[in-house]
Amino acid sequence: MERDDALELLPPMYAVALRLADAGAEPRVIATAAGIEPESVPAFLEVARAKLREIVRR
Amino acid sequence: MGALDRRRPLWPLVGRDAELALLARALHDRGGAVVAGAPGVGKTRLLLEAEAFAIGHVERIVASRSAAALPLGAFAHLDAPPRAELLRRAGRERLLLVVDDAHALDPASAAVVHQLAAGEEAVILAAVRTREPAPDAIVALWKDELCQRIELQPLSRAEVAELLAAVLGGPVEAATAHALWDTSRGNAMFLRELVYSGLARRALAVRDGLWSWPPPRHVAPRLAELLADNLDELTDQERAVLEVLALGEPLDWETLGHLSSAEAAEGLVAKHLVETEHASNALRARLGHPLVGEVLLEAMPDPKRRRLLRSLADELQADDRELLRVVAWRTDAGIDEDPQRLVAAARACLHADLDLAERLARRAHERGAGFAAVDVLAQVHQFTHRPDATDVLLAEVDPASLAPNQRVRLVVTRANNLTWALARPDDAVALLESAAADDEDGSLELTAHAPPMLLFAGRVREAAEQAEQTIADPNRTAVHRLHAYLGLLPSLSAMGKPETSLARLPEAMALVPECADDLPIALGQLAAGATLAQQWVGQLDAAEALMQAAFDDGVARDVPLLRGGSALRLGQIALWRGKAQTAARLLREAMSALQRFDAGFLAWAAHTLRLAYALLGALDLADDAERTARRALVYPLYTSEVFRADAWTAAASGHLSRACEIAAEGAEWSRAHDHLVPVVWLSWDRARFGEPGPAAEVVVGVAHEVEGVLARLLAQATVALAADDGALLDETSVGFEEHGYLLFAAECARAAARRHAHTGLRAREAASDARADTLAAACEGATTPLLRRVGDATPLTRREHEIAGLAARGRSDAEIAAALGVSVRTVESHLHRVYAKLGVRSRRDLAGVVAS
Repeated sequence: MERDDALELLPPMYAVALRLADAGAEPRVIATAAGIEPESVPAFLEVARAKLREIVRR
Repeated sequence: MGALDRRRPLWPLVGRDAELALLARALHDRGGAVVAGAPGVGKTRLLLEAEAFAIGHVERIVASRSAAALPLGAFAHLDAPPRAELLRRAGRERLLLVVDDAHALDPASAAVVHQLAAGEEAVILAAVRTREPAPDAIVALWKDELCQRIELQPLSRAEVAELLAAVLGGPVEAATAHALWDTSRGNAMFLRELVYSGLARRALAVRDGLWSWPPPRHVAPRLAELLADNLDELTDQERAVLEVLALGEPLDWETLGHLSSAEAAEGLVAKHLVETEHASNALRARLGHPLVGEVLLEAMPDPKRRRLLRSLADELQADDRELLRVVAWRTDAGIDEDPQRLVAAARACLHADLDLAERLARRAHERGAGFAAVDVLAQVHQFTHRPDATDVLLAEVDPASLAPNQRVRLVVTRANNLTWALARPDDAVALLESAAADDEDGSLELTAHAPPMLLFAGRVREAAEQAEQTIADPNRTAVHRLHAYLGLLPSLSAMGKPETSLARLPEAMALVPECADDLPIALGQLAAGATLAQQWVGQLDAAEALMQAAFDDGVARDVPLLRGGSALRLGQIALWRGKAQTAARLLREAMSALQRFDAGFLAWAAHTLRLAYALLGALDLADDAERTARRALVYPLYTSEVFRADAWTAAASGHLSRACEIAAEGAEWSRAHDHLVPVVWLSWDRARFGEPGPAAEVVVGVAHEVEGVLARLLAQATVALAADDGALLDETSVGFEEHGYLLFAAECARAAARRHAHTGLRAREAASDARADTLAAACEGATTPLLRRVGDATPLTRREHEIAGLAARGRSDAEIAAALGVSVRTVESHLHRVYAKLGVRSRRDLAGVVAS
């Protein structure tokens, strides 16, 4: 499965965060867009990437 | 299939591997973790799982609003000052303090938690709700980087489907899994309540081997109470916004502002109770959670509901694109809608929402819309198998009272009823032809409907000829020509011209836009027909991609015909690939959908499912599918599939000679009816059952007339088996594999290995066998007579093998004799030789040998 297709299958806030991260957005911007605390952005992205890998693998 | 045990407190943990890995690291490398998430998303469950990573002494506290009224309320159960007491209890062990609902801690209790973390005296594992204020000391846990904050999101659609299958103990219909994901929005608590509610009402149940919950799916009572409590905290303006959306979503932002308060709506977006999306340069609003809408609607008094529906209809009345919604709202509001608008709206939703179409058409009929409403209602009855209801409706119509074009339409309606509700397409065609002979002016319109009916009657050559005449006739309309293509293209494929059919598809596609009103689902019909042709020319990937997109769309919009039709095609494609279990799953999906809306495909799906089960050796399930097929309408168009299913169930029961007979009979029927593609594959089946010689003779007679790589390879494989040509079998195996037909590739490789063994070519035998093993491993347990390994072969003749198989299944000599059409004495004599060759003395021994 292509990455773009896989992003569509993620819970929406993970997809938002990953797209912003891909675009080089600052953690604060990602946090605001995804509705999360700025301190949790790295962990949030780590979980999002793991879930994306799992979808692509399937 | 195991049902859910309500006493079991925990559901399996699904989709949280990444979060758990993060938690494990935080507990090991840092001062702990704070899990943040919405209510019901699964925070408490995650804390419970994460405790398993703890090494040392665990203490748990649960904060609550009542305890928060007291300083140190969360530690009220301790007899001594909390910090000292907790450390005393831990002794020399490492202390893990688990704090659920930490946002609700009183400031003093929160300070104790912070102190333990800051002094590195305890590892903290806490849960907090997002969008609820937490005490400063708790916020400091992640702000001061003492703990890792982990944001917990809802489950994805795939995770919900996986969880449901695990919890219910069996496969779940895709539409049901999608609906439960959509309704719960991936929230584990909501999902759990919905599932228990569905089980309690027996609405969520196993149907045709799949867990399914057909609509309507009502909100679980406990869930409704929970959501209603949250909605009580809203202002009146905010509630008004949600009520308008509950009745009318999705709505343009501007419309929502006119009907309620834009400011309140903005506030609700911030609270995630309203979602926005960009569509056609406009901002569109939806409810943040569908359950909120259901709760509001259940509590809404009828006069208020009618008033809001009227306001919505008035607001969008001028927009032609909103005809369906406006008419539906006005009807629900009790307004006397114009009968012709009711008919137009009913037509607009005929293929997407049969219930609404019927409701609107029935209202139109009551309000004197006359024949136009009867026509739509008759179509609703066709798709829901109520031909008698159509007869009652049509009996009311006096042809003399109709305009000439309506009289023509009446005949077409009768013909449609005969074809799609009674599976009598021959009678329908005769009716159209007879009416056309009596009505010169209406003859063009009447005969235009014949090609698709001829197709389903299995009269493909006539369908193609009539269609070609219509297409070439300059007096015909675009709608007539599109009808013709709907009959022509699948007919060409069946006649052995799938490549020609695909090449002519663009001609038909060009007509679709201008025929959208008369033939709204023509695009889908053409696409489904095209994928059938693609399956036969080696374009499995392209066919699968097209049908997967259609299936996903059908699931997301809950359109049973689209879902069922595309699942049928996906199941067929999986079968060509040799993926027997995937095919069975998809075909069960198809049957589940088509039982709600059948346009002639249910029996097709059921017979194809029989074939998949026969390949898997699941004869009981094949029998179940046959019972469904018997109840459904069966069309001559797919007679060859019925022959194949019959042949393969006979083969799976051990009746190989009967399987050969059925395959030969099917090929003969197909040849006589110009269905040349099935002649090729039924002959290949016959060769696989053990009669390659006669099968090859049949194939050679038609192969030159059939286009496409599949037919070429099947003919080559049949001939190679008949000639016992190991090299050609190897070559054919590679050809099948290149185009994705893996089961056939495996079978050819195995047959080649057998031939190489016979001629003493040991190295080539080993290579072909290895290939066969690898390919067969991808076929999900499908078994065929050809796949048997060389070493597995017993020194029995085919007849002896067949009788041995039946005897091993416990059949008596008399039963075997009756089944095979031979005398009991012949059976006894064969069995005597079987016992001697295998060195066994009893049926029980024989069963053991056959099973091994």
